[in-house]
Amino acid sequence: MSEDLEIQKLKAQNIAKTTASNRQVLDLTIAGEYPLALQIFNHHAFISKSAGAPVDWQPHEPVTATIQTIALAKNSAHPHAAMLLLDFAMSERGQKVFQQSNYLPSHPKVPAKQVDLKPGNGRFKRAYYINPDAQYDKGNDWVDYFNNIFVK
Amino acid sequence: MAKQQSTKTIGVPLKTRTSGGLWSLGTTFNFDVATIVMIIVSVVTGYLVLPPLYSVIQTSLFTTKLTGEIDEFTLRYYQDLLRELQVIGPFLNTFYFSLGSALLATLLGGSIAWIVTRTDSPLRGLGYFTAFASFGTPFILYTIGWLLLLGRAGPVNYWLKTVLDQPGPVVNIYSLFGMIFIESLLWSPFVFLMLAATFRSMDPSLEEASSVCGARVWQTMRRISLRLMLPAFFSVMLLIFIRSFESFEIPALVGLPGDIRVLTTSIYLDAQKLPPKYGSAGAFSVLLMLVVAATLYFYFRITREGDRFHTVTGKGYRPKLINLGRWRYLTASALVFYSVVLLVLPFLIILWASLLPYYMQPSIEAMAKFTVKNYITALHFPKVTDAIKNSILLGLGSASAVMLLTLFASWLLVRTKRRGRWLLDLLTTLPRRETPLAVRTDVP
Repeated sequence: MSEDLEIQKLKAQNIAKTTASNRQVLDLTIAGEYPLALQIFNHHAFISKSAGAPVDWQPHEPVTATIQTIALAKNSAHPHAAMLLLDFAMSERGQKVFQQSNYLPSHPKVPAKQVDLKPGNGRFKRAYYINPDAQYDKGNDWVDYFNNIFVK
Repeated sequence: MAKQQSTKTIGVPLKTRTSGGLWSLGTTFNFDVATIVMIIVSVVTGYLVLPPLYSVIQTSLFTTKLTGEIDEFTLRYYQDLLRELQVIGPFLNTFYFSLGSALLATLLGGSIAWIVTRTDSPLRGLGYFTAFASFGTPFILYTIGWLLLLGRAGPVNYWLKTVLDQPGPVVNIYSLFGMIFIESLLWSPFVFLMLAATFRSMDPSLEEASSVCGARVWQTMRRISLRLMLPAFFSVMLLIFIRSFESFEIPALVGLPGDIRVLTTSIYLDAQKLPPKYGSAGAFSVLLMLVVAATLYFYFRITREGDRFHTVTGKGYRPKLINLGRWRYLTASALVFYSVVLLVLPFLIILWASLLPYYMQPSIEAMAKFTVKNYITALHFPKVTDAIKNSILLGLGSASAVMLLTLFASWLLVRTKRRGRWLLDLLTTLPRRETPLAVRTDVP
């Protein structure tokens, strides 16, 4: 019941929905179009903040995270070279490339450049991933639920 | 400049009905150049047009597996569609959006075309310049420029807020009106070019007769000029209606944040779902194509009827320019205003954004942060020269290919009486029916 009330309160605030990228949503917030963005990537906010933008991020438990996938195309022209690239991208050395551009490395041994961007480093305890199975089974139900409540 | 219309009546009946052409073999085979060209053009056009069309219809009638393979036949998606349409929503929005854009764009482009071609207003060259220059900017960049200008925290709202002493933003660009406004601005140069050609080729003798009979400028315009142009107005409006009906950029960038859904954005959202709903996206696409096809049919009927209105003129002079007197300052400022709104403002705001490390609303203080860092990044972007080269090749290549194909196709359609040329007519207009987005969604 209280959850319903919370959602009704949220709905009453006339939240803008967009299919634009989370980066774009953050940019609109920086530009002053919206006071608050609900679903962004924390490292994007950190990168902009480092460049001087008037923005910051705040974890909101439970913190959700997305799974980024990397795959080899079925009819790849150079499958072996592609496999080498995959190996590199996931290796410690490759993950440091992500780290250096302030993106979040997924390798457990590679911390984020700004350490508290990753879970368990002071700002938030853990991140909840939606695994592909759950997404496949329930994804559209969630979207419909969202649409029914928030989309006119 | 003024002479190009004088050849209207010359050389029309050039029908290449040469029975038994170069390669005629007795009576059974009647292959001449036109027939061979027609076969080639039909096959090439059919190859380009039919597979995506087939795929869209197939997707709407079958369920798909996760891997994208076709599974089993179903009418479920059409039933879903009908149920969704009962709650009206996207379909009506699409209709209002297209109708509004067609009306506003025609009004805007038509007025500018009239000032430029039919009056002695100063700065008429600016009209042409603006129209051609505006084609150089991609739609999506324009739209972003306009969103920056008219956004809640943008300069226009800031200014209006200060002037009108309002607490919140005055203009809500993320609305149906906002969508119509931007869409019609984008289409107005196209209207301008189409109507300017019509206005210039109008037979002046009818207008002169009217003024000799004592009619005032306004009376002549209302009773003679506007009526003569009615078919042209109507066909331009229908064309823009169709284009807006199937447009995607503005509904996505402007409509979605404001909860205004149209058919194309509904297709997009369905195809974006996980697992993707290709079936309902397909059904939406088929509906979209049907509406566009009906409108196109209407368009062809109108333009064919238009021949009845067309006044053939062999006299190679320009219609008389209307002497505006003091009004000329108003029309000149209208031209300047149009040019500023269409070209200068979106360009300036994008230039502004490109010079900042992160986006800030225009202000003197923000200028302190100016940097060329973005340009350096763009220039050092890996393969940027390849991208430019590819764009040029793509542009030149597709423009030439389309020119060549449609050149042959229209020659066959207009200048010959081949049997079966209706097929080619249908084939060449099909791509307009299956809208770009519908084609894009057929990639499960």
